[in-house]
Amino acid sequence: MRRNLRLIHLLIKYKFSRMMAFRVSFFGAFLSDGALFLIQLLTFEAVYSQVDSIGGWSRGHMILFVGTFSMINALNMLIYFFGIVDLPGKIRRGDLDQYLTKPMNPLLRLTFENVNPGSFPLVILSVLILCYGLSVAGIRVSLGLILGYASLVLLMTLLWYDLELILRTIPFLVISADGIMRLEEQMLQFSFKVPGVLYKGIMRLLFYFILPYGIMSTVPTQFITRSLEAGSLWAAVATVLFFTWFALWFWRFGLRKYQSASS
Amino acid sequence: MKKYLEVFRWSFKMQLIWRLDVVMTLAAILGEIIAAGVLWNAAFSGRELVSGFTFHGMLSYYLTGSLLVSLDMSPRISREVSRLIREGSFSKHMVTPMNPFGFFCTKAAGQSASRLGFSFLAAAIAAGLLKINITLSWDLSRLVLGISTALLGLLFMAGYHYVIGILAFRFVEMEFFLYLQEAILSFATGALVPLSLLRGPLADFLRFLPFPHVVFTPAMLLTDQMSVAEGCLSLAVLLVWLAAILLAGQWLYHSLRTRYEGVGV
Amino acid sequence: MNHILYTKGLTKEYKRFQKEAGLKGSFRALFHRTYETKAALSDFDLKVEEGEFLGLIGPNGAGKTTLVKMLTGIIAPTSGEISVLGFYPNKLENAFKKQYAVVMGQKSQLIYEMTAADTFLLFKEMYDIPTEVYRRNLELFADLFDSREYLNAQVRTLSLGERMKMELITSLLHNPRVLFLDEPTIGLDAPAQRQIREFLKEVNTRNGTTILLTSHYMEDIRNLCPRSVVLKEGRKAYDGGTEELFASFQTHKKITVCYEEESPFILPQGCEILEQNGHKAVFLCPKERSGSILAQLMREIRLLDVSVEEEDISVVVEKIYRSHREVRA
Repeated sequence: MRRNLRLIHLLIKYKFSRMMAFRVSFFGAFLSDGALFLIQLLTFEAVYSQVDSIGGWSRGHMILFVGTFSMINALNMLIYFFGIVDLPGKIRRGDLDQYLTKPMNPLLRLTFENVNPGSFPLVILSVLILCYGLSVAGIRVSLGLILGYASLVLLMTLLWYDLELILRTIPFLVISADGIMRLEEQMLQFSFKVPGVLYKGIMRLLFYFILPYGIMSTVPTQFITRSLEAGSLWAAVATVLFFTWFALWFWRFGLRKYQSASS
Repeated sequence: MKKYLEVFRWSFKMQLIWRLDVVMTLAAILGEIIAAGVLWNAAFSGRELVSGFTFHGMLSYYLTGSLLVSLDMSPRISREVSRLIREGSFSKHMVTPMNPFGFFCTKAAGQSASRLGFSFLAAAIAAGLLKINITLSWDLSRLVLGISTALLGLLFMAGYHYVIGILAFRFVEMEFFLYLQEAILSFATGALVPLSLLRGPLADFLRFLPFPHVVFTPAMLLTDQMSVAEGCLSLAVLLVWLAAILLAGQWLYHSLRTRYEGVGV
Repeated sequence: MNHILYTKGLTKEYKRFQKEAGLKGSFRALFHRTYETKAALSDFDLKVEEGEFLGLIGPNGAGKTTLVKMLTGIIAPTSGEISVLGFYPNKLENAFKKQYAVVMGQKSQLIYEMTAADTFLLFKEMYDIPTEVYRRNLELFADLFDSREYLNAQVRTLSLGERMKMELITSLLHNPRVLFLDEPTIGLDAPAQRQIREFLKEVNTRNGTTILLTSHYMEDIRNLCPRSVVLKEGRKAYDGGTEELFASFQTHKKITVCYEEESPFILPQGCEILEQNGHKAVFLCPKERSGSILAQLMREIRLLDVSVEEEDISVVVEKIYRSHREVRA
């Protein structure tokens, strides 16, 4: 454990040095993703300029929903996204060889070798959106509410990681990875536009339990707006635990199928 | 001309190799329309009209819009051109007797064509699933105007993305800018939400940009929700921008390529 | 005898997607796909003892890299037995990984944007190398390569040869018992190749490191590996002494003679002319007759200069690769 922490520390330190050396696109992720969330906010503003409520959610709820999504995404970009985003490429090119032949957990190395400090402003932007949402929704916050909300956001960040990893492990088994990445993009865009509370029937089953993108931003938003039921909370926690177990199992399964493209 | 036809055929075939990509094209359109269906179903609850749209009119707009978005392969142009320039393998397009824009544009057209059937299939499935009464226009002038605007819009986007790609001669690191402009374009073209929902100066400003005429205008014309006069004005704006972007593409290519270092030819 | 590296009946098969040419074929493949199974390595037996320096040769696609990838655990075999240092490689246990190193000429393990010294430090942590051992090894290898000046330069600024030296140092810092080298001299100029060969020889004799080398450069194999294995189409075609291998295919000598212009040169029987002009001839003659042919030439024409060389190594390699016969030591 201590050795792993030392290694993670070293990987993060190196990443910082590399970014300082090049300064290339240091704030690139902030600009592109920041724009994405502001645009989404603008989209909802356009809809709410015509209606007062969508599925019982007011404008304030929706801003909190966008802010929460933005926050989970910011943590994703900050910590592990750039480490595992190119996993399909590494599988296709045979670049995983260098990870597999070293006495360090390859997944741990992939996850932490590309932390992106340039995404930190996204966290600030998300906090600003959340504050704006809280004031529009007229919610008074307490320490307990903030801590509970923060824990759920971290849990959902882990869920996002699990889903990213599962989809990026599929290329161990198939040739073209483009489609899989597009599936993820679709799922994210979908759950980004439609809060989980609007799903009914089979869609609820799909987006809450099978591809649980639907709960990622919805559950913390429901928590902070004090509309989350205890049953839903525990179901969400169980879903995250299951997907974490499955992602790790699937990764090990995929590794056994690794063919390593010829050099 | 024959060589461009060959590029078209080759790129058409290439698209068919990856089965999963075909499935994903279907999924993209279905996802887009279902998302709109769920959101607007909730927004329309207890209302007949929202900003002049009926529920079915609104979903018809998204159906047509997502069909157009799925046929727009131009974002691949900027990604490929900038990647080739960055990696140093753009040189192969500089030494072949073929205009680079012609090559990339034809390639994108081939990709769009191979998707056409699947896109229509997906739209039909989505319409069936959500039981959408499509408010398609049967007025010939609107149809002709809508289809022409859509085709010219696709050509404009190819030109626009070519210009963005060519800029990699000048700015090496383009990746994040590509994401940034994609996010903005998804809104400005009307793919996220019909632009007629917007009010005030932003709406007026957007009208004179080319992007709304790539998705919003043709989708509104084809679903019988825009007048012919307004459509003609939009087409005129688009034509001016189209001429400008095609000229800019040629000019930029010739003036920036001299900076090319050609690493790793 | 306990072998550090052992395989029996080792086989690796791949599935390949097949598509007919043309648009019709593309459409058909969209709905119905056919695959063919190709064996990258078939029924391969190998035993290597500790401290050996083994060469692995064969044309492209012969299965050399596949073998190295299975021995290092990167890919799993389809069938057969495999054991390296007593481990089943594809289990990828850390205890196993700490005892070997692999250097692939076309895949770098160095952190491109940082200095080689930074990569060394990362490897020190990864391999739990005690500080004392780390310092000693770094000094030793930097001296052997005479490369202290490169340690603190950004990797991306190093030449290909300098970078390969850093790759080798990186992989040797933890004193591996087995070193796998896949084309380590690829693309390097002659002096860099020579330096790397000397370094590897030193590592093998001084540390007793078992080395398995694949290379297309026969100079590498001939200089370094007393034993060679030839792979052809995924099967073992030869396993034995490197010199014996070359001797059995190096059947001719190349003779160059320069003579006075008026002397008539007549090609001796059984020889093959390679080059000829008014005062010079280059030809191949059977090795066992080279002495008598030279004596004959000296009698018949007025020679100004003579040189007798081994047949070109590239020609010999071609013969080995093309040969249909199985050569067993």
